[in-house]
Amino acid sequence: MMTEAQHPLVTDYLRRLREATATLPPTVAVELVADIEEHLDSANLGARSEADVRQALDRLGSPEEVAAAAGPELPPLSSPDALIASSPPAAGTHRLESVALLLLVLAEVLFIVVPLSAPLWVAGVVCLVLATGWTAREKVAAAAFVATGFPLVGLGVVVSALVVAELGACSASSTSTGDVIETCTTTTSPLGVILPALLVAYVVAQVVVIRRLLRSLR
Amino acid sequence: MAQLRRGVLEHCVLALLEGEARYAYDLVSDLGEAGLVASEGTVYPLLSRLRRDGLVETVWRESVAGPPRRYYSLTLNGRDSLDAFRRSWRDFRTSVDRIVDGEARS
Repeated sequence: MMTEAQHPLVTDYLRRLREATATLPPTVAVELVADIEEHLDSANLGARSEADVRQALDRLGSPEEVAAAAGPELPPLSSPDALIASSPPAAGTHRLESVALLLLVLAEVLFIVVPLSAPLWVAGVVCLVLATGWTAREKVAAAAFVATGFPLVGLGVVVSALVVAELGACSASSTSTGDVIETCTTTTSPLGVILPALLVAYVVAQVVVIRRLLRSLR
Repeated sequence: MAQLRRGVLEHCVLALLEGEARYAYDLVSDLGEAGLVASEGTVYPLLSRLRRDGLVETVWRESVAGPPRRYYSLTLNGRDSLDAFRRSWRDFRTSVDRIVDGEARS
């Protein structure tokens, strides 16, 4: 995205910037150089004096400085407490959140064993409500995608099984030798395919949400 | 301290976007003038990170003279983050001031 009248100092700066960002991941490097080029274009340096151009480039910082700023990332700052505490948070700080997730996922996985999974689920929901390590929106996401796991998966599997069973028709016929042969035919209806597909999609969404929630705890 | 500085700078960027969406160039110039950054260029990686973290979003806008430019705005997550920061920063600043001023007096 080069404008026509690019000052030679600018062209040189961008060349040095490309060199300095060579060690960065390609997408990061390309994006940074594009952003800086756009910045310099916005400064309308094409027709300015050399002093002005040099000043603008000074304000930008050296290509090495700029590239270094894109370097190894410090951990994400989704929680303001993480930024204000100069030491990492104590180990037990986010236990309640992790436990909530664990309980809800266990309840979902063990849904068949209702006497076990139901209390696990209730405990998980209680932990989720009491948890303070997530923002309100994160807790809503957790409720919508993880807490619904046990009821939905349990329900979904049961309904799928019923649908498949109902579609099967068994007929008994007797052969000439007097034996009774039962032949069962099952027809697949769209429901029998859609429901499992929905289940899979839901589980995938769950995994994505859980990973995001865990990442925000760090 | 580096993390503190970086975190404060990120939230200053969010605060500058709170009222209205802006072009990076204006944002960066404001930060430079406010004396918050020694090198304007280092704001761009920060903006990229904010975008990757979902705190800001960009649209390409046709500009009057020249190629389309990136127009930055706050996402809902960005607003949440800014609000949370405001609360934390206020308390932190008060605590630090109390201690640092107290020590200076004695």
